[in-house]
Amino acid sequence: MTVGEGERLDAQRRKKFWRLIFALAAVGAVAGFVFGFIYGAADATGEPVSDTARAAAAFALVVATLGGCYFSWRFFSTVDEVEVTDNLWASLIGFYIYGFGFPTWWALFWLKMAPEPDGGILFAVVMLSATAAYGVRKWRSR
Amino acid sequence: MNNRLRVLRAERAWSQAELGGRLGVSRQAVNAIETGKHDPSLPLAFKIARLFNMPIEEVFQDEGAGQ
Repeated sequence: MTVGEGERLDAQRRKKFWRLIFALAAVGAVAGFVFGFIYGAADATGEPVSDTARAAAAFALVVATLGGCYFSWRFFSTVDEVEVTDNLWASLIGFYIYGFGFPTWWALFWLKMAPEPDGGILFAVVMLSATAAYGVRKWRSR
Repeated sequence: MNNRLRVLRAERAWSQAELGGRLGVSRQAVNAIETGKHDPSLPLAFKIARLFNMPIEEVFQDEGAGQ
């Protein structure tokens, strides 16, 4: 096989991709650490959290959210159409699971056949389904 | 949609990564197109045809054509 300009450009593109993923993970990790540290310290002492600590935790969350938005935008302007399609399919499947799952659960709750819908569980199921759908598509085009 | 991407690439002794780099897409994207798991967008299909210096219909064929 010929190793030429294309291979070099491909390596450059992959490096850019992983740099973005790393930056996104780093923002999340720093924000998570700050929030977890403040929450953990308050939990250990049993003291009420100071206004300064709460402001720092809120700031960390805002930075993580804005960082997530910025790096997601950079990510989607860097990746190719197959990656975008994989993400769209994963999002669509997650959306449908939420769209059908929540009303069904709520109706079962109304019929007194299920506990009240839990936002945390729904979030986890949607994220796991979307991640699984993304993983299957990636595996198929590996 | 059928395509001759694998053959055209082999004729030039290019790896999937080499072709991907020249097209600005990943190696996985080239593999997905070659194996028919992904139909490229029109801009990408034209880019592929331009790269191989061929009309687009010589690279991609409609499966339903001629039926």
